[in-house]
Amino acid sequence: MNWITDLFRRRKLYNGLSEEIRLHIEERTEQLINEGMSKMEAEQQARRAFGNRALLEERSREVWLWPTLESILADVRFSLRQMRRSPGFTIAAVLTLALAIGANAVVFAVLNALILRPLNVPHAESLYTVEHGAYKDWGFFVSRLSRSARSQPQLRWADSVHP
Amino acid sequence: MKEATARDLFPGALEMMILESLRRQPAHGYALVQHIQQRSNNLLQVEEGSLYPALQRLLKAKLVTAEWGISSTNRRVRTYQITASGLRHLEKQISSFERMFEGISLVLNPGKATAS
Repeated sequence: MNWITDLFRRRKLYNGLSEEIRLHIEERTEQLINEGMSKMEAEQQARRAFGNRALLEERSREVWLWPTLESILADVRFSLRQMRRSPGFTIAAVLTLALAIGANAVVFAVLNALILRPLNVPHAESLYTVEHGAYKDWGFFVSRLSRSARSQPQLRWADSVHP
Repeated sequence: MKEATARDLFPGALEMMILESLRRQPAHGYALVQHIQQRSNNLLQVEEGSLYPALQRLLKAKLVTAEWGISSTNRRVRTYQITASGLRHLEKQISSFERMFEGISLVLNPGKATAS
């Protein structure tokens, strides 16, 4: 996971590189002028001695860029190769994941439709449910109100469906 | 066969020489080039710019660190310094290079081992 930290370090290093190269060529130019060359000749010689500046700058940047991309691509290619080499394992893994994800998706969809969505009536927030004390925990499944001396009806806000 | 007027250094040679130069003294890019060319009696003609990709590789591998500052001649320079792991890496590189050199010498001059 080093490539994440590399990403942030890279920007800082990139910005300095162009300037560093410029200063290098300037220093070489100065040196040649001190040795007696004319300014224009010195500049030309310095640039020639440096080499292909754009290409070298690009290659310096590539040091940071490519390996991270290449390593990610290499990881992907490796895992695909491994999957192709053991199809049984691949099928088992894919089926397991598909079942798990599918089951979760179905359960969530049901819950979403029944519990999490507001009732389709105006001012749903002003609805109450009345639950019998003894059947408090069964209120979800039992829709029966029984009148009993010991019963303590509880009032609750209903902003979703309770059958 | 192509006429090679200039022989390419083997991969890692430039990094090795940079690390050795920095081991003696921290320096910026231009000073490094001067140092390498002078110490090699101008036998090695290093393309000055080729230092920079090598320096970036060393930076990435955390074998050196770099800092902007002002040089003794009042110029703005980025000075490189070797790290502890850079020193360890240099030791390994030098010993493997010496082994390689010994091997080649033995092949070129059989029966005559070079004393290093």
